[in-house]
Amino acid sequence: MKVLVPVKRVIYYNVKVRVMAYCSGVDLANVKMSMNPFDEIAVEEAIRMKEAGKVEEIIAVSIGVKQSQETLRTALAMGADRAILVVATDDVHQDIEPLSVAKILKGVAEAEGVGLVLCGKQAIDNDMNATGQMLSALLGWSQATFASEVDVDGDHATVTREVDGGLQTIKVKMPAIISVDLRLNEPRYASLPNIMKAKKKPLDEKTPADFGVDIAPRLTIVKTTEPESRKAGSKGGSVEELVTKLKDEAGVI
Amino acid sequence: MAVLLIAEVANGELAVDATSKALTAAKQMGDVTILCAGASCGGAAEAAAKLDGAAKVLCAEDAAYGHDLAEPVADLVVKLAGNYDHIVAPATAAAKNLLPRVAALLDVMVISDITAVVDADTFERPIYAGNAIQTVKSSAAKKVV
Repeated sequence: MKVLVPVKRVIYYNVKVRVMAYCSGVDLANVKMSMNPFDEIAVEEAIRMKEAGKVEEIIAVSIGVKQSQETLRTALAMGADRAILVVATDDVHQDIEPLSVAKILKGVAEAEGVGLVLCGKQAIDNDMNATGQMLSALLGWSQATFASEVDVDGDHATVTREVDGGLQTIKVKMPAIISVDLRLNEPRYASLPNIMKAKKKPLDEKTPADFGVDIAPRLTIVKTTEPESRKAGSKGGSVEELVTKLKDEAGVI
Repeated sequence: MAVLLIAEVANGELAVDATSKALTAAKQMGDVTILCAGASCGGAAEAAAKLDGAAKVLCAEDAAYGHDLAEPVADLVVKLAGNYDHIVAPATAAAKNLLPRVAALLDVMVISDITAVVDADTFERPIYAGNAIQTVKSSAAKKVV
């Protein structure tokens, strides 16, 4: 079985996000970028499946700017076999919407004949949490989101999902799309020899037009602003004062 | 404008807190019809009817809807979608599982986790884990929020 792992190049999770002047977006020029942490977990899970002998080939795919090559090389260094880069834009500030991404991934999945798609549950930049579900709908494959445990066995997969207030275990038919949550595993670091080897692994370049997909955005971004900063707290002198403040100012009691 | 609000039903009971918050937001978009889907959701539908601002409550009972799976409920919502301009659900794990699927089947973009309704087709939502707030406008005929 072949596994497809979509990875996204996003701002490094520890970098402080700065909104640009004129509310035009978030400053992404000259900041550290890396692979979306949820996607790293998906790559790791695919590698573990390969090590367990359940998977023959891992294909990493990224959709975005040309620089996403670096992200794909990271996936290759971790242990993916080959990579596909779909160059959809030249502008680092243009985010490709999940619907377009899902359509391109559908094309890739069909062209490569994969039996499983492992993706991160959401990207840490647009926080949409939609691509996996959309891809599942478009392909008509089973959908298992927010996975914290995955066991693929023949033509079925047992997936434990993190839902509100607990865990849900479901059994889905293959082929399936599984979107992974944080608790699934801890991604490995790529070793230096593997990083060197990754440079020689195949990386194909495609465009959205190869898959007949129009990536024109459906949503218009009106503006991007900074969140309201928290108001400073105040100290109360006595219990009575606290009670009046809660009543009159905060209105909570 | 007609709004379809998908209620959060857990084990046949309505999650009042999540649903009523979504209802408050949905009321700003138009007349709200609440959809309860579950294995047995008569009780949930009655509870939903009591919420302030619900114009109509639909109740869909089938064993297939009882396991919180996205596939059957998404098909149901898509069938109903013809009569509505907005499809809204609370931002819970179950709804996040469901809504992008509905959106893809309708060939529109989903707008997840909105924090404010500016007008019927403009919404505010947090990005970068709440470090920035984005205002987005959808020009699609149907909005999935």
